[in-house]
Amino acid sequence: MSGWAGILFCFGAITAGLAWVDAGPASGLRHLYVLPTLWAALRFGGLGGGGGGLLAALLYAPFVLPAIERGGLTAESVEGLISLGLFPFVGSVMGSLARRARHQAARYHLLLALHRTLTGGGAPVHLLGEAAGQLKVALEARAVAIALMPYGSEPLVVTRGEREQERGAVEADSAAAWVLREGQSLFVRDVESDPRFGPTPFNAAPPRRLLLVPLSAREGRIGVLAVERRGGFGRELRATVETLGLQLALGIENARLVDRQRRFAEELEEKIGAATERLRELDRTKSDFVSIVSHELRTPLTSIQGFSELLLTRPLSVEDARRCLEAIHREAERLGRIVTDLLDLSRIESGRESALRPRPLALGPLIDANVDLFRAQSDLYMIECDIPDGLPPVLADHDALDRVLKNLLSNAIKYSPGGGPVRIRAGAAAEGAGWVELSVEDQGIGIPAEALPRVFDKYSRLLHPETGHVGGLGLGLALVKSLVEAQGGRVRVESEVGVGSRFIVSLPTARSPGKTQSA
Amino acid sequence: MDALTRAFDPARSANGPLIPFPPRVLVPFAVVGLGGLVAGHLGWISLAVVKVLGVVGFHGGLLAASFAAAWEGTRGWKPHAALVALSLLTAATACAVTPWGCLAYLLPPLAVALVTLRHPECRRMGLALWADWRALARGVAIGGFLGAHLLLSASRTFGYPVRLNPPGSYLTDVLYDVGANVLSSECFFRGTLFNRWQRRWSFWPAAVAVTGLSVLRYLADPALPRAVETMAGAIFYLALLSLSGCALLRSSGSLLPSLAAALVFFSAYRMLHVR
Repeated sequence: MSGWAGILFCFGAITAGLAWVDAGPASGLRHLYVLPTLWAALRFGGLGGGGGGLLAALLYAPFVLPAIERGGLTAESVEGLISLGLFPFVGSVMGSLARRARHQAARYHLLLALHRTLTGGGAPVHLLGEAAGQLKVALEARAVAIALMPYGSEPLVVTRGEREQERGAVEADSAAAWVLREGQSLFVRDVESDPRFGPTPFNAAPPRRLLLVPLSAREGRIGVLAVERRGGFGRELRATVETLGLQLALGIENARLVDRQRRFAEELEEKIGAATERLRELDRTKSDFVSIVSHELRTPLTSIQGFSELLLTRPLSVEDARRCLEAIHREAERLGRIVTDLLDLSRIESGRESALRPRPLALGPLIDANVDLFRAQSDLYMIECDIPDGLPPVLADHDALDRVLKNLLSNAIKYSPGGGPVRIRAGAAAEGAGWVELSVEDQGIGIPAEALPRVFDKYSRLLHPETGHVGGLGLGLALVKSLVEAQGGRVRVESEVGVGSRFIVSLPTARSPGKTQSA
Repeated sequence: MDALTRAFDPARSANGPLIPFPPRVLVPFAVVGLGGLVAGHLGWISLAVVKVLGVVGFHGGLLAASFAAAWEGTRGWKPHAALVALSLLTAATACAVTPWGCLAYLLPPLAVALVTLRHPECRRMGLALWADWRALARGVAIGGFLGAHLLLSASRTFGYPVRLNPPGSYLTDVLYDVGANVLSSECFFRGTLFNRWQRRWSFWPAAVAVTGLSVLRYLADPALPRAVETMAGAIFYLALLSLSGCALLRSSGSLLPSLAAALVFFSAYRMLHVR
């Protein structure tokens, strides 16, 4: 048996016992009323204890008052009268003390729980949700909301109400927004009948008290804590909520600091990982570079050494000696080109390229000159030109564009082992006026899709059985890209394996405004 | 949550008026009641007519004020107040004219129930046609306990007899409580004043203030015997009854448990033959 039923039973039993023994106003048995009174006080607090004491007084009064009426105020009847007053007094005082002690303990538990929750790690929305839930239970609140000012991306609002979880925004003209602006607490005695909230149909249900406390930390006001209770919301409880607001603000600030620190550590780790990967890439590139360069340099050097030894050690006819010297000259030129490419690329990439002088340049003569040059070198390839009349001049450096064209044409020929046609086209760019597109198209082996993103990287070479004999450092396309971009242009590639490739260079026209900057 | 979403105007006052109805509401009822008293004192009208005018003026005034407060300054309460006043007039007149006329005191509660059925404004004073049975049982238990205690204490201490004789007179008294006394007191003191004041202050200040006013109202009642012990007993029990009524209204959100407690208590009280 517990609660009111047990307490009422005890009161009834004691009263029946007193009636059974026909107790007088100062009967010793009257002290038994203290037991259920204390039970009520410990179980229900001051109001319960006071109510229990009052009930005891009411039940005992019929044993005291008739005695006073019959015999006047005797010592016994005065003792009985004092008992009538003592029962409610003892009950209410004991109940109040018990309730206060319980509240104090609950408050400390809540503070500890909040501290544990807010330092437990996890997403802020979950931490705040848990904290709001704990506050709702501990304060016996109808609803608890924690609304935080924008931090990071967006404002955060967590509500634990009659529904399990509500999320929403803080309206600009709401009470919470006012508390955030003014930085002072707001106590509303009844949300339903308070004229500041406008007309609301209320009934006779207990008032809905509302307390809004600003959450302030070192960085200023960070949010607001709103607690809504049905019925009482005494001064002591309000002070508790204010204290909890302070603790909550500190906890939120600490949680944010921890969160910020964690994100910083993650970013740092990410950056270190990226830097390490970049270093590994550079190391690999350096190894590739050394390997390729040593291979590409050794080949002409070996030829030069071989032919020069031949010239030195054997008596050769004039004709043979000339062939040897021609071979030495050809290989020396090849060495020179390799060194020039390396130096050009290094200069452009380091930003030290100042030799580029973009100026209005007609594409037709430059393309024709290059086509003639490559036609003269090999009859195997058919090079077709499609240059429309009236093509506007581009803004480019003559020598740089010449090297671009040579590299693209050389590339197209090298990777077309079957000797298919190579087409050069020029025309207005699809991306709009002010741009001219120059494309070099072959019907060679093509480039696999997975290799396309790396096609303009340095030392990137396409390995293919049919083009294994093709030499080179893999610098040509990297150089093309660097030169084109240094002149304010763009380059891209379209390719399909077995069908061919198309390299497209977009350059600003000489008339387009704002495109006259040099590299 | 309203704190986050509802519009809030800090420039407005946090509280409505302390007296939630315009005092001029009471003027015509005061004129009727006091006019009747003066006319009776001057011998212009009989005592029966004075009683009729007193019932209409006093209880009609309390109920009209309750309706005016429930409608919160908007129009529409006057016909209902007039209906209830008319039913009170009918009941008091019938009671004065014929012995079984007291049954007409069932008219005012019926009129109030009719208004409650059709107008949700009455919920502002806790009026509804039904309430939680546990709350009603609590009300009956509290009223019964206080009533029984009163009977026991008064009969044992002062030797007042407890009896139902004559049954007609007892029925008249109980029906008067049902139709006028309890109905108007609960609607006005608990439903109107306490319900507003507990929102403005807190439970105890509101309950104590309302209890003081309602005890004063009974002490000023000319029907209450003027013996010291009777008045002390009235103050004690009516204060407990009033505080219980406030607690019942607060816990249940309905005026019906409080009405039940008061009706049971007064039904017991009417059995006591105070000399």
